[in-house]
Amino acid sequence: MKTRRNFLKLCAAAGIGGGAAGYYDVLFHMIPFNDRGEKAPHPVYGRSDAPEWLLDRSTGEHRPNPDFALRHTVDLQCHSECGLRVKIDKKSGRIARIIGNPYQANCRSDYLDYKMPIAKTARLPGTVCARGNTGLQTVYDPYRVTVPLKRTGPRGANKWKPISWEQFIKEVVEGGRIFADTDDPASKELEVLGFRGLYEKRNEPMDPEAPEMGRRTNGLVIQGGRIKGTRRKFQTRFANAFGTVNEFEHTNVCEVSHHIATDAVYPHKHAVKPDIRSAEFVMFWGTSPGDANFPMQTMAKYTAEARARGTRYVVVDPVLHRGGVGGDSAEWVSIRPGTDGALAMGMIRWMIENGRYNADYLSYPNQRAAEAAGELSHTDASFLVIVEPGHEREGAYLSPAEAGLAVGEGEGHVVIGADSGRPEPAAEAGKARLDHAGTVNGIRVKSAFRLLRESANRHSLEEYAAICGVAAEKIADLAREFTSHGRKAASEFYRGVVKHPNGFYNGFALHMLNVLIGNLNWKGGISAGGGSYGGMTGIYDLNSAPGLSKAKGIKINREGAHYESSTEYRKKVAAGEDPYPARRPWFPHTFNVYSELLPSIIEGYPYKADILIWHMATPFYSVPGQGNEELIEKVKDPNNIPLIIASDIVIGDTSMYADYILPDTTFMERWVHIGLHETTLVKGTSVRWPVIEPLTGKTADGRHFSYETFLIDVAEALGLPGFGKEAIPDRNGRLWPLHSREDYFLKITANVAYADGDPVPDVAEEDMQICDLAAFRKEFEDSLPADQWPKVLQVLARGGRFEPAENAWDGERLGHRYTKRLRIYAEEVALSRNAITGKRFPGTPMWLEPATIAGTPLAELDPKDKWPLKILTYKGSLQTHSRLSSNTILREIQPENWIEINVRTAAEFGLKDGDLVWVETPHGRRKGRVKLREGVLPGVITFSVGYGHWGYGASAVDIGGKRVLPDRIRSAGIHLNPIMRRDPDVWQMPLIDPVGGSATFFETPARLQHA
Amino acid sequence: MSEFLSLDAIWAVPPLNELFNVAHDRPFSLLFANYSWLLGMAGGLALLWVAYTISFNARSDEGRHPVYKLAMPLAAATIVAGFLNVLAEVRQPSRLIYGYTQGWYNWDTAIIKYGIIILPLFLMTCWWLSFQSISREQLERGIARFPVKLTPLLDFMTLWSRRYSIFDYPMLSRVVIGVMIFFGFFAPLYSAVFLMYEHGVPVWNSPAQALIFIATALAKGAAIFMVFAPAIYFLGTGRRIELRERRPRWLAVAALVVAAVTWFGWMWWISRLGTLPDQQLAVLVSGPYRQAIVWHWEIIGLILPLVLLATPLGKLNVSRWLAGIGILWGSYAIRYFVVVGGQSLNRSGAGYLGATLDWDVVWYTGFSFLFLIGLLALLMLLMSYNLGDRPSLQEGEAK
Repeated sequence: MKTRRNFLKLCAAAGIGGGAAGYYDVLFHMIPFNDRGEKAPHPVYGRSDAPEWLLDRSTGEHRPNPDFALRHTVDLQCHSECGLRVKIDKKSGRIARIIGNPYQANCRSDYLDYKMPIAKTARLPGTVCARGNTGLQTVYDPYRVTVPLKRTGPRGANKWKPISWEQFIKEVVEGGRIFADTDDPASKELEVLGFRGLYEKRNEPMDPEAPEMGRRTNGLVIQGGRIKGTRRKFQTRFANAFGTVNEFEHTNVCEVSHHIATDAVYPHKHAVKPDIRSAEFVMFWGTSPGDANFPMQTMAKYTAEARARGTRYVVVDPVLHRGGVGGDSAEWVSIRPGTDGALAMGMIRWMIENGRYNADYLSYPNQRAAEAAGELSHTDASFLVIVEPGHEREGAYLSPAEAGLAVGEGEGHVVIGADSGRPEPAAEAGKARLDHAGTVNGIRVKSAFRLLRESANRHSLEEYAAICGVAAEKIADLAREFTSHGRKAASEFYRGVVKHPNGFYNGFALHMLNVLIGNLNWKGGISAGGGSYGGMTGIYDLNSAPGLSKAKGIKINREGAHYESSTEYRKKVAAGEDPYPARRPWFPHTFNVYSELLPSIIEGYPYKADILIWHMATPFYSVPGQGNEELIEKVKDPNNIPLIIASDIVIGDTSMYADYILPDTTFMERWVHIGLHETTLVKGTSVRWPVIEPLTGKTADGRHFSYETFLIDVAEALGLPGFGKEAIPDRNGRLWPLHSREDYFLKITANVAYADGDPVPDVAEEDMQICDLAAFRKEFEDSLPADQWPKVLQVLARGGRFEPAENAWDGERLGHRYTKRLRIYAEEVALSRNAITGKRFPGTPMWLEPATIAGTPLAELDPKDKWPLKILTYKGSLQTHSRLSSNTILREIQPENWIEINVRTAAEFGLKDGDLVWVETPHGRRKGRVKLREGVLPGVITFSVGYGHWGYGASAVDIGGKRVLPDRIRSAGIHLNPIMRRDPDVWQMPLIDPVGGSATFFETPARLQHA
Repeated sequence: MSEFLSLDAIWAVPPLNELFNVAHDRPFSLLFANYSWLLGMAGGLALLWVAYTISFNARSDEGRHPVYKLAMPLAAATIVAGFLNVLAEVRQPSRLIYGYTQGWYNWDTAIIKYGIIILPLFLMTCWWLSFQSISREQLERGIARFPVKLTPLLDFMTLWSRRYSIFDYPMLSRVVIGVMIFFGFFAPLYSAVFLMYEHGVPVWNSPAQALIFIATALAKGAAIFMVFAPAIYFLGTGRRIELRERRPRWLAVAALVVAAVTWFGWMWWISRLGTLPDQQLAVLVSGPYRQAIVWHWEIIGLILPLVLLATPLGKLNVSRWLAGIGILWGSYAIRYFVVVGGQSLNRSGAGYLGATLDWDVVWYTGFSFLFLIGLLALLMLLMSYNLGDRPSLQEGEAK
């Protein structure tokens, strides 16, 4: 018995003692009532954030909480560039909360007066979306890279070691056997050229036999992902100083064909947007208000406001997203992927046949005549185009000389006068004949409008209906409604329409809808935006510097150049060979053909690269079909690309294959000046600036590691023009140094502050305190003269410079109007050829069947009986293409993505909701879970991008011998980009739009199998 | 039903820890499942205690079976262990008692205030009844074994129970029994209702889980009476006893039948008639959690104990042991599923949150159970349990 009692005593002592010991921290912190556990700042509300505003109960007024600074900057969780109000704990310097900047147009319809003191804005908050709110999780991502990393194993082995900034700069600049310290046999003995070695060849031609290729320094290729505004300008400055034309951003995986189609109609504009708030009817094509587009939250907000006032809108998309809801005011029209052009051409045919277009407006051939008639813009609809077969300028506008007219002042185009019935110079005509075909001076010509009409008439309405899957009656209904609101109707599209091989022509056709009703510059119509306050010139000239000139040569992806101008073409012709096909396509009309960079470098067409920089770039994740083993293996081989440097905030899905990772800053720690999107209708420049001290390390002289610091240090090491002591000229002829990023960006801010000869007011002392700007000024005092600081700080205090909201409209007209000539005929396109087939591109909007670059229709390439489904991607409102997997708050809302299919499609495959399936494409398969929806067109698979990472914290890495474990939530879900359809005619090239240059995301054939 | 109990789900037994916890900062971890399980056990014991008090002559010392005497100390120990889990779960543990100092109006809409007030009363009552469940003489003898100078302290700790017995006062004992019935239902239901109070989580929002919690609590109480309390008695005294009285066995069967009918009915409902969020739950149960649910809950926790107890097999000691273990395991598994599975769903209906095991959770789980053992041993010492009377001959036998 005694033994048992002792046993109980032992149990009691050990249990209570051990248990209490195990709970020592919980119990210890619980006992003293004034400090319990993680100390609760408030006895009742606990750890709830202390508010940034304090309510004075006696007056009912709010006053700023002195414990926090409020700073206004610009978001980059997506590309909407929304203004942010960032609440920063002054003690810790950490971000506590993010909401919208009420002074910026994206964040409030009635955004606040620029002069309103911040202290008066407590009850007037701006909005941001969920992505904006969670931005602090991007900043404080535990997987952030804060010091330079160098690989210690083969590329992609994810073995790294931290190195000093000095070692990093020295190795990449000086080159040599810099990988001798790795255990990679492929690169241990490799002699790397380095920046200096390449720069020393700056006077050598890239190809002595093809001088158009430029200098050897074009061997530096900068593949930028998201890099916009003045940060891009900074990158361009470095590229020009070094002597390379090869610096890019990601646009061809975004929506470049939209930009090119827009530029074709609205010269030098890459986007036009509807005045949603004033429109009576809006058609959204391949996009849905509230899911994506520029700016997403603003479009959603405007659409909601308009809808409440009675505006009706239609969403044309194979997938019903959040904004495409039903009801009396909104309608979803489901359409077969890539056939928007057919629907638009059907509408155009109906509009022309039924006389439902603005013939008067289209008949004015110049701005003077248009304005005299009360119009706000003019078009080339009446311009004559040479259609004489075999004519050396077939497809070009008829010139006055060719028409036998004396060349007068102004533009060199010809119209048929409406009254005279004879050829007249377009610049001088009052009103012109719109629909004309005939002969002028012996040359057969047609008006641009006639060409459009004929193009629309290539198919009947029923044929268009059969192509796009929208009934002919519905096409007519849509056209009727679109033309029933005068100028207060608009057609708006985004990447769903253009990410096809026929993307340019789809977009071109959609723009025609607006042109035909003449809604540009009218309230409720289409806006080209209010523009920005610039920043590159003014008090300081950031575009130039002593010795700085523009780099020259053919870009490695052959964008902006005609194959027919190349030495290669001429040699083939001279040798009597058929010059077609070129080895890879050329893209004379477009820019940022990002997807062509890696394959072109590997193939050495037109030349090889020595150094590749990835900045915020992840081609293996984002480019359709390129995250495949074959290409990755090629990139991993140092003999193909001797030096790869990635500028990233984490070890990403692609940057994991680099040799070095330079720690970049996040959007809360960096600079950019960028104009407002056209949607807002107003003029403004938003300023992104370092509202917190960067988390990255510092150089010996105290500058934080960043992409700019890297470029500056490389430039200074090489003595490049435009960097160093005498780099930035001001208007008085003084040369200012460029040694830190603030040396550059603060001067742009000064230009913005003083733009238009109308400087902003000086910052108020109270705003200085609320934004905690005194310390900021002190830190960078020497970058600006003392007298400019108060205005620069005012711009920072507001997060940019914005004109008053009421400037959006001027009566029934838009406040900012675009007056260049609109084009319904793309002469430059019509005169160019596909470098693979040698065939000319059409110059009018038309329905073109999607095809490979060599012209094989996709329906033949991937027959429907073998591949019954098509994959579409979409960008949900909780994700941005490749990033944000670190934002666990967003992942809580949607931790995984699905393979979304229609219930009827599921029935065909014998699937039910939640089943695991293999998605198979011609290039591989991936496993995911199906989600059945009614809001997906049968025969279509769709999935939200941003999931299924393998880098970005999703895989374990070794850093300095320590294993960093992955975060499983980042690898959750499915990502289908790597198995998307590639063009069978060109190695490692996705299906591509040969005119617009877009990589194709929406034409991958697929089938499903039970997993 | 076949979706939730199918052969292909049986072939592979997933380790439970595949489902452990979610990879992000959520309100509840496994510690809440521990808490729910322990408080459920306390509630089940309280109801069994009430049943025995009413049905048997437990008011008299002769009628008190040793198992009965263990019910309240076990309940008190499990409540304290449950509290420890929840204290570790909330990172500012003393905020739980701010209501007492700051006023309850701050918790106007918070259901937590009911638990904060009622569950400590439950603990105190169980503690008190631990000493009321033994004879005054036995307690007297037990206290006498301690040094005399500790007597006032021990009197305080035992609430002077050696000087009176509630069973001497019929009205008082009826009141106490009534209060214990309330506590017995409240404790298992509270964690379920607490979860129901969270909006938009289909696993949590169903009253079915509350019914399952109370049914499994009763089954647990019965299982403890059947096999675990005799085992504890043996550990504390060296004497073997066996509860031959069959009512706990059939009570466990009845509770398991209720749990099974509720569970399968719930699954049938959500898969056939449920709303969209319910169907998310159906996909979870028939998808990622399928094998775990089938094994740990449906087979080990429900079917196996039912087969072992409801058939003649139930006469075998080994059957009752296996059934008891299954009941405790399954009861934990269903709470685990409700707490963790509920959090794996998300309000957009998109996918399921992954899971990683947090070391802190293992730590606090382990030490809370250690504390439970220690506290139970202390109570047994105070009750002088190892000097306890011989078990009632008509209900058990001494060996």
